[in-house]
Amino acid sequence: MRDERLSVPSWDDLRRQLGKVEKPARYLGGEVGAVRKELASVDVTFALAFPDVYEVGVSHLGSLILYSILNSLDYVACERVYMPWTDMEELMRQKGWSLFSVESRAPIGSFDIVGFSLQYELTYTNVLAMLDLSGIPLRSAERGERHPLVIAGGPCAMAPEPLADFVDAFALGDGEELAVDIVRVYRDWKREKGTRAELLRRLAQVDGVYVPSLYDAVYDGKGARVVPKDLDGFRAPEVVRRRVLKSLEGAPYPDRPFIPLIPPVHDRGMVEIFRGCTQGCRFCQAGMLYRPVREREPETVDRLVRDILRHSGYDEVSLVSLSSADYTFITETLSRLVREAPCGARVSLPSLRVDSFSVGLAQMLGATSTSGLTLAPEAGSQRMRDVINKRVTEEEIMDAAESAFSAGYSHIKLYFMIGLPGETDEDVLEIARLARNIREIGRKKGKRPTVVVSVSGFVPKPHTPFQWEAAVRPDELRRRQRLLRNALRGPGLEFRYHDADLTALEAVFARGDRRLGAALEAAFRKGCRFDAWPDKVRLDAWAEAFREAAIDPDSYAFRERDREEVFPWDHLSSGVRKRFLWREREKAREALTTWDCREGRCTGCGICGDFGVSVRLAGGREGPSFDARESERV
Amino acid sequence: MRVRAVYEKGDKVRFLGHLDVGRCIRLALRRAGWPLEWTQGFSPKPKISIYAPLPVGVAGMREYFDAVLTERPDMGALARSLSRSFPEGFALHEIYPVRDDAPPFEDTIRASLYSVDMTGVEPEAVRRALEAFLEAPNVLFDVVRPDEVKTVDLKPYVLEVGEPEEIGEGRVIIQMLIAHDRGRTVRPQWVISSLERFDFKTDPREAIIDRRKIIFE
Repeated sequence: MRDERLSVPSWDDLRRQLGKVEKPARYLGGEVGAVRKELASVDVTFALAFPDVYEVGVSHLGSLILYSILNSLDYVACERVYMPWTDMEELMRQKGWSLFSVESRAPIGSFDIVGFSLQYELTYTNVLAMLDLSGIPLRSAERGERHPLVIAGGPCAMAPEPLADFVDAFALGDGEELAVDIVRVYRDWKREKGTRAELLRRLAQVDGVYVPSLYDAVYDGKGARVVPKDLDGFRAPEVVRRRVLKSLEGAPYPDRPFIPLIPPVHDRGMVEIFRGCTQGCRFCQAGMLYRPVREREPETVDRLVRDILRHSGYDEVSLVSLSSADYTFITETLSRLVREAPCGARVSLPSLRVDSFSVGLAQMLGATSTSGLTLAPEAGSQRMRDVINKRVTEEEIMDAAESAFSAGYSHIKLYFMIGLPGETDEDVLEIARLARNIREIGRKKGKRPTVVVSVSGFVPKPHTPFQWEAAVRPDELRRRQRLLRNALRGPGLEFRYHDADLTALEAVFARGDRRLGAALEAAFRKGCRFDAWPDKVRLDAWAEAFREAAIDPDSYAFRERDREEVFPWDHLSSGVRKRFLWREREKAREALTTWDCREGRCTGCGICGDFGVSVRLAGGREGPSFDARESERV
Repeated sequence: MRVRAVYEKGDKVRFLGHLDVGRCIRLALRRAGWPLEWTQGFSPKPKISIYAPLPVGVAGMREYFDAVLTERPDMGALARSLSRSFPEGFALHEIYPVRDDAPPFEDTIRASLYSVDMTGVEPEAVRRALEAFLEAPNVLFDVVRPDEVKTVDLKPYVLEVGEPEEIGEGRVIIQMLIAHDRGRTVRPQWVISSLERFDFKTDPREAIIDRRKIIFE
């Protein structure tokens, strides 16, 4: 445990020390448009914490949205903090400095609430490091009235048991309204000078808040069940439901985002054109966690683009979503923005669908032969694409490639996954065949094309149809990587792949239960940080940590679950029924595809019926109404 | 038309690198609505030149950049809009039009005057080391870069060194006039590091270095 009497460096201390670390500007804020309030003058101070390096954190749209909403409340001051790079952590420990916010350089331990954004599992050791650097006791049970309330949101909060001992409350789902509910409860509790136990009980009664200390983790042979404790009459809800905004129209959006002084990983403005995706790819957690599709009206998109460009000075704005080509008015919106070019800016899309329509969109954006084109067929064989419900045919892929080469592209990047359920060597080799065929199309067009094949390892994620599946062991994943590498030798072909051991570590924590907390803490104490960074992760230390905590990581990552197993995230509802997920898994086994409900027919996932929401398309159109029969079909 | 701006990279933004400063200026000019001229080609960029790069950690009191504009607006209005748009830590001192046939600006820079503020040092030790430095025929210094080590002779670049000024207990400020030679120059930190061979040792990363001004021919 770090000493709680940590100091915050003065400006003179800082400027004499920061020359020793990489990119000191990471720690100094000063962003144009950052909000700076007098912390002592508000009722609730909130430290928005991102457990990755500054340039990554400042690109995160969700944090930007929350920052702007929280600061719009006159009784709240929200400041930001990011995970210091390893050199800075070392310096801070050596000097006895506390982690501090970038706006006021206030010690994080002095905030009322510290709220983490959990975007991926391999940031968990950074969460513990940030608590420790702030002098905040790691475990919820060790915190008292003088410590901040530690909360966390983001996709990982939907399966958060590995962090259950360290986080006081998880915020599930869309944060726009939930964040306000949480600070309001906190303010009232603070005014009444309540105890910490009272605060946690009050929070547990807010829709979308999961307070893990009010639940027991029970391991009874049927799985890892999480059930509310009986606390002299008080019981937290059996199931906590994710918060879902009915509509994005009218939801607040940061039209004056802060502009970092050093380039973020995405150095451009962002406008979220819709939330949710119903393509139904069976590996994709985001596609299940953010349902239903809710589009912004094109006039709103237009206004946001103009406001953001005017206030930021950016010369590019990205229309972001999980699958932007699906936006109802994508063609109209892009052609208008390209024609009118507000502030002379470029428009971009974060990703494309694999079809010639999307290539047409890319062309419209003025992408040229110098820039590459990225497509994600995800799997090489038609059978595998049917298994994962990536509903694109080989013909469509080839059409897309043909359009791309005709449009002047000569560099195509293809994203695939290997280690998918039921994958054979033939399926893997099909990736190479597909890449070669695409290159051949380019050659016939008289080009000297390069095709880059980028392959990641599949990780089964909670709340998806593949949550029952086993991940593939690193040795086997490496064998498949070699297979592919050998098949991809030759001119104009490039092969890139992810570290198989990192894939395995992610697979452990993605479906982890509360027992993993001990291994996580041990790994943190052994110095594990930035586990998603191949040059930072320390697999030897992780192996020791699992051993010391008597955890068999393989049983989390490489074990196939049976239908009856109770998962440690079953008490957290995304709105998509478990029964639907099982049916999707069964269809995957038979390589049967499922349609997209925005095409007009309900797939029976359950969210619209159970959560009282609906697909909202731009132009005031609603998606299909909930079809109970479809949901009963198994 | 070409406009030259004299600005300050102040204390608060001293840790920005040269490219970061360029990006901040570009974004500020766009927010300010300056009628920037853009380059042609696949990835058009506004025509802005930021002169005499400063390393990360070093502030500059009178720095220079040029921007090429598509029209000839009122200088006062330009200055006001940019002053409002600059991030905290930057300040605009003046702007003025530059003739198109003016000689390349970078070539007219002769020297930079730096102040170096060090703590925990003995003024007498600094003075002796600097004297020895100035008397040495050459002072070779290894500049370590990620991909190479380059040896430079610091001596010809150090034109003048002021008398160490003690401004507090163990806190000393020295002024250094460092030459620019056709775009090449050396960093004050290197000079401080090199004093180790003259029996003066301090961590140059802990020194606070400001460029007071740039001197032209």
